[in-house]
Amino acid sequence: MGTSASNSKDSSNPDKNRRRILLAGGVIVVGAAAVLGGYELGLFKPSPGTMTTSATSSASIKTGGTLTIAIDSDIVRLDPHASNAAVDRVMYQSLYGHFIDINLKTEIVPAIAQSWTQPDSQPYIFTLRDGVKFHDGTAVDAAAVKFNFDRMMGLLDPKLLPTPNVRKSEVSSIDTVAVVDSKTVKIALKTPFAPFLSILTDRAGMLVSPTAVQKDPVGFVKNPVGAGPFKFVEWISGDHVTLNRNPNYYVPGEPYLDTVIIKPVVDPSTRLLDIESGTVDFIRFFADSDINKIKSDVATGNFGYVVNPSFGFNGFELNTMKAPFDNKFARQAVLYAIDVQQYIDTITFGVEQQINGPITPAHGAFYDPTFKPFDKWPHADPDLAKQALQQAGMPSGFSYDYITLPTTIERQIAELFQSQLSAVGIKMNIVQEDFTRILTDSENHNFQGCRLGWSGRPDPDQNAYTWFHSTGSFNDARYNNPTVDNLLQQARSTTSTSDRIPLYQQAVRLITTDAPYVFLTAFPNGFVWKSNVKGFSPIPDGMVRTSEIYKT
Amino acid sequence: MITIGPIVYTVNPFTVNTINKLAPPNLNDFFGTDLLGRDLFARSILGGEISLYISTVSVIFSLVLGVPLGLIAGYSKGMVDEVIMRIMDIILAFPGLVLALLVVAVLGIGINNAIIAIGFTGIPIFARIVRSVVLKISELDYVEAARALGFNRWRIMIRHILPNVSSVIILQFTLSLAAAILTEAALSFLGLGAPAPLQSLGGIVQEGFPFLQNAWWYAIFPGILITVAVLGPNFLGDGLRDLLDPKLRGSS
Amino acid sequence: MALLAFILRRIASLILVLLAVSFLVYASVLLIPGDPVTAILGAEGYDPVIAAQLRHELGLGEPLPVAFAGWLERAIVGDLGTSVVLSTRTSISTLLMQRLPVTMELAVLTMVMAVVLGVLLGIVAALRRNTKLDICVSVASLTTYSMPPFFRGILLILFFSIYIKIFPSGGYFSFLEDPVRNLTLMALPALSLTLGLMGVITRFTRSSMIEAMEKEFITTATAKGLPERLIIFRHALRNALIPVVTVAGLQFGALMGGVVITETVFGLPGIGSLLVQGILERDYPVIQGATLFVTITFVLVNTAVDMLYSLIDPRVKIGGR
Repeated sequence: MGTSASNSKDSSNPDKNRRRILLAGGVIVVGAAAVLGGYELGLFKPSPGTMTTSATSSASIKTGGTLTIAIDSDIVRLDPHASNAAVDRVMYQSLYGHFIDINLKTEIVPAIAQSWTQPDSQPYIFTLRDGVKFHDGTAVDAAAVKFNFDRMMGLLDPKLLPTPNVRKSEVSSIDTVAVVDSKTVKIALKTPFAPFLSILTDRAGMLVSPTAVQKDPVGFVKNPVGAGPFKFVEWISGDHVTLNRNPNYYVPGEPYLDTVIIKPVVDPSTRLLDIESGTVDFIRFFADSDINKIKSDVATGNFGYVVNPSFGFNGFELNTMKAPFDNKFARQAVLYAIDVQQYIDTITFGVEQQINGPITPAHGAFYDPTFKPFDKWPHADPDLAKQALQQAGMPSGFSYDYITLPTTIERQIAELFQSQLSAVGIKMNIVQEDFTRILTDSENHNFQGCRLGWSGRPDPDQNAYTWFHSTGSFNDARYNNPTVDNLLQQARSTTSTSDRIPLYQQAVRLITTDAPYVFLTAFPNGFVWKSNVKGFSPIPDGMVRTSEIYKT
Repeated sequence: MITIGPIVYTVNPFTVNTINKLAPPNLNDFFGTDLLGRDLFARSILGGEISLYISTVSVIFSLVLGVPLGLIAGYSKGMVDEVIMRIMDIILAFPGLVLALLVVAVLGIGINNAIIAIGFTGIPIFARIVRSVVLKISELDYVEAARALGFNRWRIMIRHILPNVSSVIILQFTLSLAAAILTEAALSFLGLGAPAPLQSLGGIVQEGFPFLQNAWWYAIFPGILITVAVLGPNFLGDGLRDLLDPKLRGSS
Repeated sequence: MALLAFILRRIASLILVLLAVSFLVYASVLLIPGDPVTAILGAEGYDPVIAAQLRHELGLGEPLPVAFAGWLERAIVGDLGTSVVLSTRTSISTLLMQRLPVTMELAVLTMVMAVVLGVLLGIVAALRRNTKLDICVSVASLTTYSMPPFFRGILLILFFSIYIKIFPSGGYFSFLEDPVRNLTLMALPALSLTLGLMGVITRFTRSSMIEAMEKEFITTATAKGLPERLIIFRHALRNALIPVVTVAGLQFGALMGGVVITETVFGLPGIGSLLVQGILERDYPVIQGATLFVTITFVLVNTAVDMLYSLIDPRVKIGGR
């Protein structure tokens, strides 16, 4: 770059130079005029999507076909017991299936385990379905189930264990797992633990074939064997995962599709363009800013979409052990000054829903939609914020560092908060670090404000206890409120939902008003599909249950 | 337009006004507004200043390091020449952007690091062209005479050789400036250039790229500005080239 | 034989350059302020197994020449280390091999289109010089050439993906699987790069043609009638094209830089986007591997073009500088 051929041989220099300058000016003027003129004429206004795809109106289930799903990032690991990335679950859902599952109302329903008795402070007794097999033919019997739990609990030969063993803490409530007979497993917990079943609906309930693991523990992570509706074919890192139909799946007739292909497409706008152009059939997660485009696509009848709050919450933590946030009034000043509604309108384009605590609307009856931490919420109350500053002894405000991801959208979010806070005299400095460092800083309590959210779990305990109990493993803000501790402890020890609801609602009131965390919205689960893709259930855990999907 | 800057246009590029977010170009906001309602015209002016600042300083960096190296190599000849030119060859062995990326990867993100990265890539060109002119000139009689008379070599280089090289240097400056602006834009588009809130034009394009469907003005106007900024030095260079050596043609 | 000596000398200097480049790429990791392993994996809490492997692969703790020799030895055999952030435990050479077809396809498509279109346009401009067409071509090529490569890509997406929905704007399907879809996905990325490279080729072809044609006209001043003009035209063309090949080859450097950006804009899973992701995530083994790969390709192509140029162009003496 930087060299160009000159044409000086064919004309005199001054003429040519003049012509060039005129040309340059001309180009610029014409260009500007074209752009403005085009705008005026409406040439540049985007038209609603008019992609033609095959019109469908069949109501009966058709088998066969390939479903191509575009997801937000590449799979990290193929071993469900070693996975700490939520995106992996999209693939695991098809490959491994579930021990037990949840439905649209977040109720626990049978899967590989056909039924169970659920007594309080007595062991759980699971009865397995007949005839379920792993893809390599091994029977999914009680011994196989015990193998899996032993693997997660770290009780097997070290070379058979998952690396790293991410599920270990999830199953730490288990005391013993015993094989009663080939179809019955008895799991005893150390103490009564209400969320136990909900944990088994996720990766802790995804079973791997003992035969495959024992035969080749290292190779297993490249050639996984599960019991789900689809079998593993290949994984080209960064490009796609291919899964083929499992003809021996335990639900008769399912799965309907022949093949599932999962493609990582990191950029959400590209993902949307991919489905609009027909390259993929189904996308998981879209950019909030594309919502109007999606609505107009759906209006053409060629697409469908859904967006619901997930179990996950987002916002930012305030370190209660570090100035200025060791002062409760300083935290509350931030709470009152942040305008959640403006965040929803500006950043999420109205897509996301506000939350008043770590429990989201996806948690059903546990969520209390009537609770507001202050009167004007979800709008801001600058006067209240200034009052809180007075009470904090910092009438002219204070400054603090806010750590967030280095992405463009996160910076814009930070700039929005910056302007909201500066209206009441609080100066927020934006510090951007990549995700690994944020986690490290958060875990080491090395922050004042830190943007960290969580993908959440079906049971409200998992959201509230781990983050806001004084001994909670994610409680990086070091929030310590004995009343809250009490409430949360009680709530996880009883399995009666009607008893648990008021406990959580009370705990949430205390947590939110104490403001060790400023809650914004629930992470949305948004999906778009081509209109010939049917049978999708938008279950709030965000996984795509492919066994019920068919294409017409 | 860009260099006149805030003296003429007094809108604050940082004022958030979310009610007016992603507004198309209009009489108040010539380039429209961004996601937080900030005026893109004001942001682009600021961004343009930063782009030009980084690019210009980078080229000066290349020049300040490359010209002396070329002088020394061309005048000293022999082993010194070989060594210097070999090092230049090695720098040139890297494709331009890739080398800048490597430097930023090592040093981290920041305005000064971007300058070092871009500047480093541009050193060999200056060294080479200066050296080739020096080689030609040092054969000339008056330089031979000065050498024979025992004048200090640095004095010879500065007083006799440098003035003759200056026209070539000026020409190369414009060409390198065009290249530097493009490299800087590439770095900041990838998120590796000047960090917020003082992004350059490439950084604004990066911000606007996800909104191409809903708000095309966000990414397009800054991009047009970058193009205009590159066209300037390119035209200037072409004109200068004709001025300086009308017999010169073709590219090498 | 002068020719053999020339080739041997070029190869010797090639090997030197490759060694120096490898050394620079390898040693750059050591220039990171602070401890490289901490910088890459984060301050604490990283997996000690991965950290130990990284330390070994980077040759930290050993004297520099020994460490470099070890790294080079492994690299020559094809072991470029393992990714630590992007795709843990995947070998870098696997990642590179997976992504190579994408980048190669983009590069080849671009070069072919740039040369063909550039030469055609240059010939047309030469034949119609100083007409409006000539000026239009000049201005258009200068403008597209002055645009940053990502901006060309963005404009193409705006017009051909969003407004006129001819081409999709992202993603990739293997050519072997589905050639039609592959080409529609590669069309815009290749075009955005072509428009940049074309400019120089067009202008050079134009001036080269003009020069060649004028020479012929002067020596055959009595040329009359169409057939003779055609002969002159063909002869001029042949002469004019020789240096064009080398100009095209020299554009390869710009191509490499452009490929990195274009793959990012269009979401193509090639080596360029791997490099960028590696930098953003600070996965140094990936950065080293991708940089090395791209640079070595660049050096090899340049050397080949250089030697070709010296051999083909009768005006250049072999052994001259």
